[in-house]
Amino acid sequence: MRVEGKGRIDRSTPLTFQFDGRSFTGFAGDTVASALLANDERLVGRSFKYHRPRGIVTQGAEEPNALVTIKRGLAQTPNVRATTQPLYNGLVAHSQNAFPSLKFDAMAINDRLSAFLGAGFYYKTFMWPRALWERVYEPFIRRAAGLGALDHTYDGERYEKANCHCDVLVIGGGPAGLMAAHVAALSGLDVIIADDAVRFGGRLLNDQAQIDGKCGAQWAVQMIEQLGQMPNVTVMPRTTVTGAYDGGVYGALQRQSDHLAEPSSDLPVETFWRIACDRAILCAGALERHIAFPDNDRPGVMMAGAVRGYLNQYGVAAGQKTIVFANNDDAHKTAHDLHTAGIDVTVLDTRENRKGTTPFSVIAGAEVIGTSGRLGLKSVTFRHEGKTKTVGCDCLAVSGGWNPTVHLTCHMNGRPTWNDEISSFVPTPNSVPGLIAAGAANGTFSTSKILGEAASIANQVVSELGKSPVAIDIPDAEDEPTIVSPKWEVHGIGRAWLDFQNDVTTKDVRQAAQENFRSVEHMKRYTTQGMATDQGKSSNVLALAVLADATGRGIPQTGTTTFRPPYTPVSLTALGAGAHGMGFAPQRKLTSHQTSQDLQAPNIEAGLWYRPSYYPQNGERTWRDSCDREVAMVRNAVGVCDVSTLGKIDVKGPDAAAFLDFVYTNKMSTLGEGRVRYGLMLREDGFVMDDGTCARLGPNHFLMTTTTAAAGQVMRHLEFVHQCLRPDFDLSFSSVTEHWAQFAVAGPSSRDLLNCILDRSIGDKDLKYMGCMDIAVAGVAGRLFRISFSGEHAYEIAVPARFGASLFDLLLEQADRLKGGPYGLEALNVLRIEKGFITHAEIDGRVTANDLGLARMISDEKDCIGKTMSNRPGLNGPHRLQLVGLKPAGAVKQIVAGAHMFTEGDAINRVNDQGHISSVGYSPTLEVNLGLGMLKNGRARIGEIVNMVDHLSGVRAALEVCDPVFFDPEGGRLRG
Amino acid sequence: MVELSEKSPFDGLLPFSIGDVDVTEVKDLSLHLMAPSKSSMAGFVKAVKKDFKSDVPQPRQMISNSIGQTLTRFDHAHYLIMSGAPSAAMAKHCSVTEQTDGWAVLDVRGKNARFVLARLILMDLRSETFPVGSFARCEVAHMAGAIWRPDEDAYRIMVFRSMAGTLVHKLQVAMESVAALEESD
Amino acid sequence: MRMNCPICGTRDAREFSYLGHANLRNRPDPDAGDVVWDEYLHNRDNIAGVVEDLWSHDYGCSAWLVVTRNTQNHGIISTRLAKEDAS
Repeated sequence: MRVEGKGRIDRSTPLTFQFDGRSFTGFAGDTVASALLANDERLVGRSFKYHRPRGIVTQGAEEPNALVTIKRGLAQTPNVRATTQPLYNGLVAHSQNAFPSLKFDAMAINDRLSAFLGAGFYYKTFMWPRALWERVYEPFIRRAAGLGALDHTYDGERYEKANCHCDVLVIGGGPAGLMAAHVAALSGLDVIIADDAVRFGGRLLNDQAQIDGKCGAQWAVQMIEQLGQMPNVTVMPRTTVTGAYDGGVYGALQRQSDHLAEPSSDLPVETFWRIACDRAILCAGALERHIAFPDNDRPGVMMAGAVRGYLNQYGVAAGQKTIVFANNDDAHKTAHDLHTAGIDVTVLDTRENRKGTTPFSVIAGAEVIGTSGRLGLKSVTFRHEGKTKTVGCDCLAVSGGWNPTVHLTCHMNGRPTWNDEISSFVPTPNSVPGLIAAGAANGTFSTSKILGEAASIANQVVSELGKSPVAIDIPDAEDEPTIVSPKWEVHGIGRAWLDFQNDVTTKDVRQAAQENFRSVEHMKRYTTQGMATDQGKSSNVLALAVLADATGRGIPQTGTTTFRPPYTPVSLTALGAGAHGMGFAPQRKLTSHQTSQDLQAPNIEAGLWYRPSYYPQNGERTWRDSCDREVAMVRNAVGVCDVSTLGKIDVKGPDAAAFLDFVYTNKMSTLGEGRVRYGLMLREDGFVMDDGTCARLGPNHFLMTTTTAAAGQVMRHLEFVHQCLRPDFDLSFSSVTEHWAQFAVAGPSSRDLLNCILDRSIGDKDLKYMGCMDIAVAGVAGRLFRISFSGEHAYEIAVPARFGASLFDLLLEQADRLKGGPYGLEALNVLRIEKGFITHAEIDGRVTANDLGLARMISDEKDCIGKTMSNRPGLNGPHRLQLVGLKPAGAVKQIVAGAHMFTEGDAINRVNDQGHISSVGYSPTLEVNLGLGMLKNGRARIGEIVNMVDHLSGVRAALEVCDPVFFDPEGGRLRG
Repeated sequence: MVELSEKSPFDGLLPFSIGDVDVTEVKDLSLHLMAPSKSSMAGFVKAVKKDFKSDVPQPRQMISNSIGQTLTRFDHAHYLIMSGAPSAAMAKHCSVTEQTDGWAVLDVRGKNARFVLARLILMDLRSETFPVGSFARCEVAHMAGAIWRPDEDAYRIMVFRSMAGTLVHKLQVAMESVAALEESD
Repeated sequence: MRMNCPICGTRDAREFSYLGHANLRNRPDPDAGDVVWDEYLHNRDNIAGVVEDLWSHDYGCSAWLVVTRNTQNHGIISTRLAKEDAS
C-alpha cells in the first residue's frame, strides 16, 4: 500500500499499467515492482521447477522471483526484473512460467512430486527406454523448461555497441562511488561514473542516513549534479558494468529506452559499451542475503533492506503488519523506518544478547520456523525460549547479513577472502590488475567510513596515475559498527529454500554432499544452485555455508565457485548489436557492380566480395542456360569478366627478386621485364598455400597476384617472411588490389576488342602469351597482361579504379559488336575446369605441389618456403591423392562435387575410399559433365573406371579417370 | 571517340547530415606510399627537411607543407604523402607506390562527431590522446582503415574503395542512434 | 585485452593476430634434418607462465611483434618489433 509523505516518486504524474491483463496505477519514478506492491499485488510469478507461488523479494537487479515479460510495440522481452523496470504510462507486463494463470498454475503438480524431482533427478531419470528420449522426454522437458518466451517475429528494435576510454572508471554511484568520482575528477583525470539505476545515490536513496546534517539522498543529488557539470566527467546512468576483462577493459550494458512508452525507432534499446581505463574503482555496494528457514519463499517474504527501500524511495509499505527476522543490527533500521511511518512492526532477532530500548518490539533469541499463506503470506510461526508462537503477518522482512558485491574482482579467476568480522566475503586485493574496491563492496559499511575510504582510495589512484592527491573534507555521517551473528539456516519441518529461482533447498545441498558431490563446484552443478538468471546473488553464501556444515569444513575451506561475466544477464541482441542485416559483414563491391546489377546478374559472395554469377538474357530460364551460353561466347567470340578481386601486390627493391625466389617455389629472378610467370606458394610444412602470377615491370619492380580468397593471408605471409625471417632483405611491398580495376578480356576476338579501345593498337608481335606492357585508354594510363584463366587467347586490362565502371561499360559496348559480352563466375569456373586449372577447391590446405602434378615447379636451384618439408616421404608416393580429370563412363551422366571414389569391385566403406571430387561443371564445349578430383595414385590410373558414390544425395556413377586438361591440351588457343 | 569517365567510391551516397553531424566526401586526395630503405633513409630525411621543413613525422603525427601536402607514417615500412606525388628529390630516396584509387575518404564533422565514431572505432579518440594533426591506421567498423584529425571538429576516415558503401551505412546508423539519444536525454 | 604496438601505441587486441611462438623466427637450414624441422614446425613447450609470441598488427601498421606475455594472468610484459629484434 502507498504511504503518504514518503518516497521520492512524482505523485503529480500518475501512470496506468497492465499486469496479466489487469489495470493498475502507479506514479512516475516507480518501478513495476514498487507499483505492484503499492497495489498490494504480492503474487508475481511461479518458480522454475516446482511452480511455487512467488513474490517480490528485493529491490534490484539481484531479484530472483519477479521476472516478467514486457510487451512494447512488436517487441516482447522476457525475464525482465520488475524491480529494475521503470514504470511508464501504458506499460504491459505479464507474469511467466504459469499456465493457465498465476493463481491457478497447472504445473504446480511438480511441487507435489518434489520427492522425485530433487537435486540431480535428471541424471537419474528419463533414460529408459532410450527410444522415448527424442520423441517424448526431450520435447516435454523443452516445453516445461525455460523462463519466459521469445516472440519469433523480428521486432525491428535497434541495439548498438560503442567504445569509450577514461583514466578512472568508477563502478557504482552510491556514497562510495560519488565520493571517489568527485576526488578523481577534481584531480583533473578523465572519469566515468556508472550506476545501474536511473538515479544515482545507491543505498542513500533507500535509507534515512544523513550526510553533513542533510538527507543522504539530497547529498547524492548535489554530488551527481556537480559531477555532471565537470567537462572531464562522463555520467552513465542505467549502466551495469557487466564484466572485467584483460588489459583494463570493462563491458557495460546501458539501458537507453526501457523507461519510455513509445521510443523513437532510431533510439537504441541498449548500448553495449567497451570501456578501456587505466584504473577502476569498484563501488558496487553490497547485496543482502536471506536466511533459510522452512517455507521461507512465500509471496510477502522479502529482504529487510528492500522493505525499507520501498518505503523510503517509493512510499510503499510492503505489508500492513510486518515482522523483521534478522541476525544483525542493520535490519533494525527497517523496523525503525516502518515504525516511524506508523506501520505495525516487530523484530525477531536470532541473537540472544540483543538488547537496547526501541520504540518497537524486539524479541531476542527467536527463530522463524514456518509460514503460511500459499498465494500470499498470512502468518509466521517462530520459536522463542523453547515455546512456539504463530502470529498474523503479511510481510516478513528477512536479513541474514550483507554480501559485498565482489563479483567483478573475481572475473579473472580470482576468489574473494572470507572476513569473520562481518561474516562475508570481501575482495582479494590485486585479483584484477588496476581494479580496487571501496565502500560496502570492500566490506566497509558505515556511511562515514565509506566516504573516508572512497576518498582515500581515489587519491591513491590519482597518485598512481601521476597527479597530485586532492585535499577533500569528508562530510559528517553515521559511523555505526557492523554487528552480525552468522545464522544460515533454521532447522524445522518443511523445505527451507536457498535458490528461489531454481528451487534448491538446504536438503538438496545436503543430498549433494551425501552423494559425494562435496566440492562447491560440483554442488552447484548437481543442485543447480546459483545457476539461474540471478546467478545465486542472494543464495550463494547460504548454500556454501550449508555445504560447509554438511562436509565438516569451514566456509573459507569450502570456498566459492568461479565468478564469470556478465554480472547480470545481457541479451544476445546487445552482444551482437549492429550485426543484423546489412551490418552482418562489410560488403565489398566491384567498380562494375552497378552495371552488373542493371543487367540483372545475381551475385555470389566470395569472401566479402559480391561477384556476378551469370548475366541472364531474355529467354533464359535457369543459370545453366546463361552459363552454357557464356562459356560458348568466350570460346567462340569474346567475354569480359571483372577480376579485380584477385590480390595484387606491388613489390619493389633491390632484393625484390631474391625475396620472390624465396616465397615462390619457382624462380622469379629469371623473369624478364615485360614477362609474367605462373607461381606456386607453399606453406612451410610443404603444403600449397596459394597460386598466382608474377609480372616483372622493371629491374626491381614486380607485381604479384594472389587468389581472391587468399589475398589477405598471402600479404600477411609476405610480411612475416620479410620482417621475421629475412629483415636483411632490402625491399618493400604494398597491396594495390583496390587501386586497380582489372578485367579479363577472353576469347578469339579479345585482341580485336582491345584494339577498339586502346590508344595504340596491339598486333601479333606486341604482346606474346605471358607478357605485360603499359597501355593507355582514352589517355588514361593502364596495364595490360596477356594471361588466361579460360584457356583462350586472353588478356587482363587494368586501369585506376576510378575508371573501372566506365571501362567495363566501354568493354561491354564493344564486345556486343563482336558478338561477345559479360560473363560471370559460373562460366569462369566451367572454362577453367575444361582446362584443368586449379582453384582453392583443389588447393584446400591438404595438397602438395606433387599432388597437383606441379612438382617440377619447385626449383632445385634454390631454397624456398616449404621446400624442405615438401620432400617428406609421407608427402610423396602412391598413397597420395593426386589431381585427375573425370568424365562419366556409364549410364549415369552426373558428377557430384564432394562425392567420393572407390575402385571398381571394392566395398563402399571408409577404408576403401580412394579420394574425392573437388570441382564439377557441365562443359558445353565438350557436351559432357566434367570433374576434377583428388584420386589415390591418380596419375598412374589414367583410363581406369572408378566408382563415384555421393553419400548425401545417393547418386552413383562410373567415371573414367583422365588427364585434367580436357580441352586444347597443347595450349594452341592460349598462345595463338 | 573513346572516353573514360571517373566515378567516386561514394557515387551519390554523400553528402548527408543527421542531427548536427555532417558527412562529406573528400575528393581529389592523392595518396602515395613511400618506402625508404635503411641505406636511403638519410637521403629521405634530408628530402623531407627540404620539402616539409621538418623531421620525418613520428608515428601518429601528420605534418604539412606550404603547398598543402601532408606526410605521415602509414605502416611499419611506408610513409604516406597526400595531395600530390612526392618531389623528385624525395622519390630518389624511396620506392613510390600510388594507392589513390584504392581508398574512399570522407569527413565526419560536428559537435557529436566523436560520439558517432565511438560506435565504429575502438581507438581512443579523446582530445588528449588524439589531438588535431593526429593520424592512425586502425580498424573502422570491422574494416581496415585510417583516421585523422584535420581540425577540431572533424575526423577524416578512409577505408578500402570497395567498402565505401559499408562505411556510409555504418555511419548513418550510428548518426541516427546518437541523434536519437541526444533528443531523448 | 589491449596490447601496445611500438609504432601505433595501445590498441585493442582485436587489431592484432597471433601466429605462434617467437622461435618461428629461427627457421632451420634446409639440410638441418627431419628432427630439427619437426621441432620447429610442430613441437612447443606448453608453458604456464612467461612466453614469447609472434603477433602481427593486421589492422594497424602490419608490423610483426615479439610479445612477451604471461599465460597465467594474460599480462603483456613487453612488445617489440620483430624486424629489429635479434632473436
